Amino acid sequence: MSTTPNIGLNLAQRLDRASGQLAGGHVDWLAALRRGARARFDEIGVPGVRDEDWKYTNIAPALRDLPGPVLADEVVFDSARVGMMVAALPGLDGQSPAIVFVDGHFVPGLSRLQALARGVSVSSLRELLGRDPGRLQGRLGKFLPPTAHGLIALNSAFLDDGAVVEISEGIVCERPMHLVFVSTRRNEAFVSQPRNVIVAGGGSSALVVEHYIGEEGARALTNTVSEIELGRGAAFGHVRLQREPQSAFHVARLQVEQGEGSSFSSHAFGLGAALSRTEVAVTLSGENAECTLHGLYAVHGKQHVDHHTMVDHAAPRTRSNQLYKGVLDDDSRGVFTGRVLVRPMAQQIKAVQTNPVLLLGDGAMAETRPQLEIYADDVACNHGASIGRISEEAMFYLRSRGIEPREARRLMVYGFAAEVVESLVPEALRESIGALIGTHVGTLRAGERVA
Amino acid sequence: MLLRIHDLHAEIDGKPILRGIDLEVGAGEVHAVMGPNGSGKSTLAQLLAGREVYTVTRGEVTFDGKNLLEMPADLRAREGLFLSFQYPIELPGIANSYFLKAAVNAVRRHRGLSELDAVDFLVAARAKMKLVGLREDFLHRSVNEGFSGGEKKRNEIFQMAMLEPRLAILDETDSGLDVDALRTVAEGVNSLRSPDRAIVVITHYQRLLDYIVPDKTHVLAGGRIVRSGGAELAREVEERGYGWITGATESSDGMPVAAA
Repeated sequence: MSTTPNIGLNLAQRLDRASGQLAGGHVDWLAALRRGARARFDEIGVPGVRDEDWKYTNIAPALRDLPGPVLADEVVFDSARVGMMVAALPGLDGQSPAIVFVDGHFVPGLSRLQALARGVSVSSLRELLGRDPGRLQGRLGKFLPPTAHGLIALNSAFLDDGAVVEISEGIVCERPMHLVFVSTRRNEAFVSQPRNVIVAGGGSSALVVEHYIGEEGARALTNTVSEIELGRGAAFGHVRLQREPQSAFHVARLQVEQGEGSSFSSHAFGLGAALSRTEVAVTLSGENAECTLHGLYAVHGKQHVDHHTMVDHAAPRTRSNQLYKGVLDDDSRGVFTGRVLVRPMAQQIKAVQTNPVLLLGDGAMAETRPQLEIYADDVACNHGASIGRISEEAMFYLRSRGIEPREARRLMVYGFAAEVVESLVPEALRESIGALIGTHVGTLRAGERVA
Repeated sequence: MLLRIHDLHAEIDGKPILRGIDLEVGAGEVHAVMGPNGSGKSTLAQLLAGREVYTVTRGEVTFDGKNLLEMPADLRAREGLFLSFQYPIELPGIANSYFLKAAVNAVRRHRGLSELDAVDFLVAARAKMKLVGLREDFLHRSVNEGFSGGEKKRNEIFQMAMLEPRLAILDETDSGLDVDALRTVAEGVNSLRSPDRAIVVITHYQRLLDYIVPDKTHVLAGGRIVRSGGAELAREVEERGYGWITGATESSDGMPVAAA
């Protein structure tokens, strides 16, 4: 027998200590949703390496010794310090709205929700469930597939706090909205399960940036789910900056449902955590919907990073384009799985997927798995993957201009990664994330081994 | 003497390419190194710039009295050696401006000068780009990516102008250029001639030397300099080909036969 059911059972029991304090405990439909998810979790447990989708990523060790969640009245942190961490986030200027969570709980004092445009609301899920739960009825979990893995069920079974973003029809938001999740607790391991819900009305245009950061040494398991629904003709951008400390584990699911003629752009940056698994699942439900999924993972040491995409072409004339780039230093592992499903009635489909990986470390390993399931015949589908190393010729060119090997290597790695950054808008966000990536690739240790 | 090469032998993968080069280049001089394909011209250029794929088996090279062969490529550049590449490398994702500013400041730091800030750099770059007829938007494009052959060569000379080397080696800078581009590039190079800077022009054909008139010309064949002379030697090569110089001393496989 696999050990995963036991791990799952113990984990759920530890989480049960929070049950009495969960948001909206008096709301029947919510209680039913949680019960259903709990039953599902008890049935399937934590995904194990025997699951084809989790073949290269073993999450079990991350779950074994977790005491449970930090309860609302147990949250203790240095507000000034976290405030500085938040202020230093890329793209978060003094004008952008931000909602901040520490160890899983909403912190109004660090959030900035007065800067919202007309027709836009950003609230804490917990507050909203207390104040006006009806607004979320039928919305929570609406598009999550019932067959999704156990950690998604676990998030639903204990959903409590997170961000709810609502954008009314036709509203155009100029400034990105920032959802910030900070892990601070260092003395014991804990679970944090943010649940975010974003609804973008027809013809609206907006951008949300999810930041995951933490204190070095914080032993957090973040298990987060974000649901996005795009109305007809909506244009929506999503950025995930996963920069958790090396002491943390991170599991994330982004579930996107796209209406007719909508366009969705995602940028998933996987830089931190000892082990991370980031899923982006998009269903193109309306005709002429299109999505562009970008990813960049750049890790070192013994970090393990797993990006998993699922694009469901469920309507005719839908388009998807995926570009995931990986930089793997030292003994790190990078996994990319890109699934594209084209349903029988979905004709005139275009789907492109590429996964170039740059190996820096001698012990680094990359797995790349395109999975195409095509049941229609009028389909243009392309995929490509490559694994390479830094070219000696290019290094010589840089060095022949006086640039030291370490900096030359940093430039080469940055140049490789830049393609993912370049497609970011607006420019201010592109520049600050570009600077962050430039610094980050400079910390990869491969530079020191040259010369 | 700025550059002194003595009895230089080098090989790649065990195959000898340079077989005893002797060459001295003084500050303020322009030398042309000509030779047929496979004579070792590009090897000499890349080896001097520090390409590590070549192994020196004998001989020595000093640059301003220092042992050049002991220096890594980036240090050679900071010491004032510049190679204009025959095939400039494309660097996707690295903006020309960023790349060049990093290079200029690495060289300036080494010379004990203050680093250029973004504004000073831009002012300097604009002036030097005019010299070779490059538009300013080239600064924002990735290094050499999607550049035409002529643009790549202009970019090399632009870099040279920004880095202000003491010794510039131009490896087949004329290849792939039409007459107008050739003239522009040559004018750029000529504007950089100065009493304390030496230039070595490596070329297969004489036509670049109509514009950049050398003080001395050398003919390289079979990994050796087989003849040296003035500017007129280049014209002779143009009129008569290489055969009259190399033919008598070279067997059919390009190996020099005993010259004694």
